[in-house]
Amino acid sequence: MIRRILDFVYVLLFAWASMIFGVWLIDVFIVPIDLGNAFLTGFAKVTVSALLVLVWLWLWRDLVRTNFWRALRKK
Amino acid sequence: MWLKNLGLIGRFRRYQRNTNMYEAILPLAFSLGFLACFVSLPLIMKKMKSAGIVGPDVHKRNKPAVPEMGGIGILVGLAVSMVGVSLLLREEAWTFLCFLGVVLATGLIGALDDLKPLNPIVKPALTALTGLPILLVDAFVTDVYTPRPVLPFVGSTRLTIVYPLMIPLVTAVFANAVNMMDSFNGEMPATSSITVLVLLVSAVLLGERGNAVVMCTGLLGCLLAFYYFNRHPAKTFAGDVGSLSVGAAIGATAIMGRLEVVALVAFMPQIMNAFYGLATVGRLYERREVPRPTLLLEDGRLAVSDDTKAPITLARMVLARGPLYEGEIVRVLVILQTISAVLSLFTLYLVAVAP
Repeated sequence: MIRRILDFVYVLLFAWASMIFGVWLIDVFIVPIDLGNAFLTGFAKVTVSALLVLVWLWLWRDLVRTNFWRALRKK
Repeated sequence: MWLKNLGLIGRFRRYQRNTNMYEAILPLAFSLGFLACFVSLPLIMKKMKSAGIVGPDVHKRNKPAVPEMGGIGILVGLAVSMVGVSLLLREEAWTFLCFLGVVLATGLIGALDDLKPLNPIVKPALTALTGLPILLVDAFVTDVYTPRPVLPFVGSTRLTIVYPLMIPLVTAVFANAVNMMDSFNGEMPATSSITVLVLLVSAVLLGERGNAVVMCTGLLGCLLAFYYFNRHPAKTFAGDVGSLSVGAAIGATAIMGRLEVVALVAFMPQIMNAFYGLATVGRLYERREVPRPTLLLEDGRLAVSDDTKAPITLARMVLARGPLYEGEIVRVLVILQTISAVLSLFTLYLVAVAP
């Protein structure tokens, strides 16, 4: 039972820690971006933040897939 | 009127003046929700059975027919609780009635889906519309949300344009995520109760969120009463009318109580479940149109399906290490929800110390 719970805890901790880290990254590196033009600056901030979220989701999905099929193969 | 005749309202107002307003309201919100749900559910179950609105409990060997749409009891409980609170807190009545409006609108969509399954694209689109009462009441009556979510490290943000656009998305995501995690006896009320409890604690600790405290208390009362009937072996199923409404209620509380980030973290198991399912199938889907993620064994235990087209749900992941009984799966999911709740309280700390 503990192994089953730990499988989730790793993923949960990864998702939570990377989310908090992402917020910090956005605050420190993305929010201060200034390209001179207000529209370009806004566009750049949204694009970079969206890319960050997509990378996060992709990593999260792959981690789960790998864990699941590995556990199933072991069984 | 009869409350007035008995002098109960006046007596309660005098009591209120002498105590903290919310201290007086909370036991009332909880007990009204609990009692109304507890008393109405047997009647609803009887009605559903006589109308033939029953579904097989597919995780049992003998597949007993269980009355569906028991979630109507949650709606009854929440309606009685919120209307009762609104009568006593007239100045905050619009906030509670707006919250109730979101829940009832979602319940209506859930009921339609229970009676005639909706298209997997139409259902989320309709649930997005249930965020409208919040936008309308805020635009025309009184402020019910603040477009300044507080983020860890960042502090209070100003999202005056984006935030209103996000409200329908939030109610739709929360409603459908709870709906997708209502597969086993007792799973939905147990996991949702933990989320609501965390929101309640967070609202109390952050302060100035009295309305969210009242909403959480009322909802918690309904969920605990419903759990009594839905726990293993279930006497009723919530149906979409129940699970969608509970999700929308949690989403609305997060928005109206400025608890967005805390709710998101507390809600991670539901989000994980929905996200993995969507990522595996590759599109929005109705659970009846994809292969079942679990199989029922001869001894009554549930095993993982190795069909590559079946969605990777949380339950399927739990079963990847070997078969379990239904009650054991729910226990693992409740533990996972509790861990998520602890993480959300840690997030609450980060929100509280943010600049």
